[in-house]
Amino acid sequence: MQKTVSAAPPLLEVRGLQKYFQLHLLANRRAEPPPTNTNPTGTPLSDTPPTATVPTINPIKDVSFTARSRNVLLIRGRSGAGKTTILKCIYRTYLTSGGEIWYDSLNLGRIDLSSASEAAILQLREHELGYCSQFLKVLPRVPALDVVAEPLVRCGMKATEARAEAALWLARLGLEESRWQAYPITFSGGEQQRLNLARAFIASPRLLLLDEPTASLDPHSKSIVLEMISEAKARGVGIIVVSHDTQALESLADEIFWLADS
Amino acid sequence: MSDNSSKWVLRASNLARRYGSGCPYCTTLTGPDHDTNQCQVCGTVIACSGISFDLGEAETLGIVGESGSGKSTVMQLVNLSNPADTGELWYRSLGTSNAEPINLLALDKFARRVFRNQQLGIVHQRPELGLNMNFTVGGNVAEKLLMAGWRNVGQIRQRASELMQLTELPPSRLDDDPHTFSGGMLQRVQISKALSSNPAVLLLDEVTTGLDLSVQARVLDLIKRLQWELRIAMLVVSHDLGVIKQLASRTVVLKNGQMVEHGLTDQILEDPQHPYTQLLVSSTL
Amino acid sequence: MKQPDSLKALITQLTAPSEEATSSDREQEEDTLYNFGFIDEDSKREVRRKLLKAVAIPGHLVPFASRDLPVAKGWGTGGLQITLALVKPDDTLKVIDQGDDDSVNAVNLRRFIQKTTNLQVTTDTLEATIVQTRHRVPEEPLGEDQILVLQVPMADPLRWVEPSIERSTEMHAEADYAPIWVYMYESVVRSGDVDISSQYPVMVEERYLMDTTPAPRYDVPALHMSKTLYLYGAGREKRIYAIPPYSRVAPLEFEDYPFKTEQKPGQACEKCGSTATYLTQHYIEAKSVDGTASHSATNGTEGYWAFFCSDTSYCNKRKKVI
Repeated sequence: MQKTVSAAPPLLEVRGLQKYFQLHLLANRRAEPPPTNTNPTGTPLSDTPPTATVPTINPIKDVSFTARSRNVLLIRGRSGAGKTTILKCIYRTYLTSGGEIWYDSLNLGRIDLSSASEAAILQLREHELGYCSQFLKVLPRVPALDVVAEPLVRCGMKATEARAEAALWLARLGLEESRWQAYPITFSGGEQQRLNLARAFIASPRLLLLDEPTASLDPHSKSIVLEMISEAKARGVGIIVVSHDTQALESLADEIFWLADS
Repeated sequence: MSDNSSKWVLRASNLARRYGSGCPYCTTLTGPDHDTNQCQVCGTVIACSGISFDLGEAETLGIVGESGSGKSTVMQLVNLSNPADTGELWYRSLGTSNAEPINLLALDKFARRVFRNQQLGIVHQRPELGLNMNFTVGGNVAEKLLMAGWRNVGQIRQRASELMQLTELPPSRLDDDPHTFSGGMLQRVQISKALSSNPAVLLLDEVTTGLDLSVQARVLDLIKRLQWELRIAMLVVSHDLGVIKQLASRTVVLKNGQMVEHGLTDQILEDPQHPYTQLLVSSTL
Repeated sequence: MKQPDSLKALITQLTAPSEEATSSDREQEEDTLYNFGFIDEDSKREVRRKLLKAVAIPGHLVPFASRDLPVAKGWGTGGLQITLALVKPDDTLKVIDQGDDDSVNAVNLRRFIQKTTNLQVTTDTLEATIVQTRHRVPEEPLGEDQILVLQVPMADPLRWVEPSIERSTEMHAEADYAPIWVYMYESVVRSGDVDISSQYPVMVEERYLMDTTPAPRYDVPALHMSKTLYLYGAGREKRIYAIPPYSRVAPLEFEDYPFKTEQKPGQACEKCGSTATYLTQHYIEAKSVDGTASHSATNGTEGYWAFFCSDTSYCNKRKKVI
């Protein structure tokens, strides 16, 4: 590991992260825990299903890594290894089943994202965390420009100023001005992806979580995105990237974390 | 410490409401585990119990659940129109610094009514519950102002017109009969009325239920716009996860009168923990 | 605070032993076959108790056990029961109907009371100790030693906006009067001004909303800081309420639509020439040459509308002076 890297303060420490999903509903049937009550003869009641433990998927077992400010951490691994799950656990879209995620917050001090209060997470999402998901999930009937401007408005910026700022980002990402007032649902995959990126970068978070940022982009857009990532890094942002596109991102990465198959 | 978690406007703690005499078995025999909220021993209906949540400044909290899950009871308890049997409901004014929280359930009837008029605004699913259909639209919007002591017809009409503009209603129809308005417009009238006193908390009870999809969308858009422009705390009750998803940042899931799950709305939707929530999420169209 | 004489009178009357204890009255009772004041003593006591409560809570509607009388409910039985519960043999009574001493209803009630009590009756407002009235407050100012009893057809002003009595009782209890204000607002919107001609709602002592009975708006200011005790009785609705002397009574009004009385400048009574009294319109038929009244339709000459004082006793007094 390089000296400069270790000198940077740890922004995020993931320790022994675990995540499993309990599927209570499988094939339209509700899975029940084994019945404890039995009839006098000692045999189980006939109407309870014979197999009765809740099926569980366990993509992540004991993952630990550290991300730092002014640093790009690239997470690699096979499809289905749980790369996105890690990002969602950090962003609290998923609840963590075990382990700790310590984040060094500007406002709230050192805080465990896996157990922090919902209000604290909301505050962090507004001011410190940026997340670019693999697929754009936005509310219907909101024009593209407003989708991008929204994080700024959430921080308290005036709508007109926020829209002006959003216009700059959309222009930079090469989205035609004629489409800015259109609804993102009418956009192509690549266009949606660019919108998603603009939304993540605009509020200049301290920690950026990027899920396949370069997927479905043409080479030109891809180079702009890489430029944006390196700019953010220069500003001191800590970045965690999940990507298959190692070729493009390896050059930017300060650290690479290999996620072993579970 | 500037933790956002301390910045709540409204805090419910262990609210409960039952209909019936109650018995020692009530709590152990009802709830989601028994899939009923009626006690089999004494027949008491536990409409809701153990309801606790915080509503932050300018935040929207969703309450989701099926019919009979106790959503509306919770709304009535918060609206102070139905007295809770146990629990506390704290309110803290954010306008003044170091304001002491007050327990709304301990207020007398007068104070409660004044509080409800000034700091709460409610929008019902059925407009006839929230509006007097014999009065004009303007009269309905004016009601809370008149209750607050406004005694100048000119000023009242001015304010009512502004509210109608805010909710995208033509102010020229101020003196029209509510019967001549469509369902979506009536919801806007209700929202105008609710907002007339600049309340601290807006309560939305199944506001889009029963409306056409396109009308639903426009009412939701209006509410979202108000979220941004007024930065008002909202409590949204709905059986529809789609509505909750669009409006609420945090969500509480109710089942048989009890909270089975609470969390950030995207977490509830993507990583539901309770079997019932999983069923609910998988049931969305 | 100095207790007004009428209140004192009421209290002494309620605490004093019943007048019927004297032997002369018992004779009279036997003569007429009726109890003094027709209704029995227990019923009178009920009314008196409720009157005390009503005086203690100005403007508050007090339910009472309304008795049957040989007068149909809705024809002044509430006022009648109050009068019968209050009168003593030395009282002087005046009964008016819409300001008129000689209308059928007034005459009947007066005769009934006279027959069952043998009271002295009068048409002079100043002579009377108790004035029972329907719809009007006499023009001549009443004093502290007089009591005005009003017959009330509809006791609850919230009836216009809240059909459920249960709910309106709650609204009175919580001083929740927003709906009646909306009603006032609506009336401004629909007709350009508050179009409540009679039964104008007032706030008593800034607490209770009260109906002024179908009295014209002209009489509403007379209630404010009045020297006289006002007692209201609704026999059909079984409610009693009161305005004690020197109570603040304010009509509901908007800043930009203030309360107005019906009086118009330039109108004067045709009989006495008064310009400062409540006037009513009467149609005067044209007289033919032989002096008999004839209908305008038959001979082509038209009658006309004339204004007269509604208070006939006051009008007659003025005429005599002139």
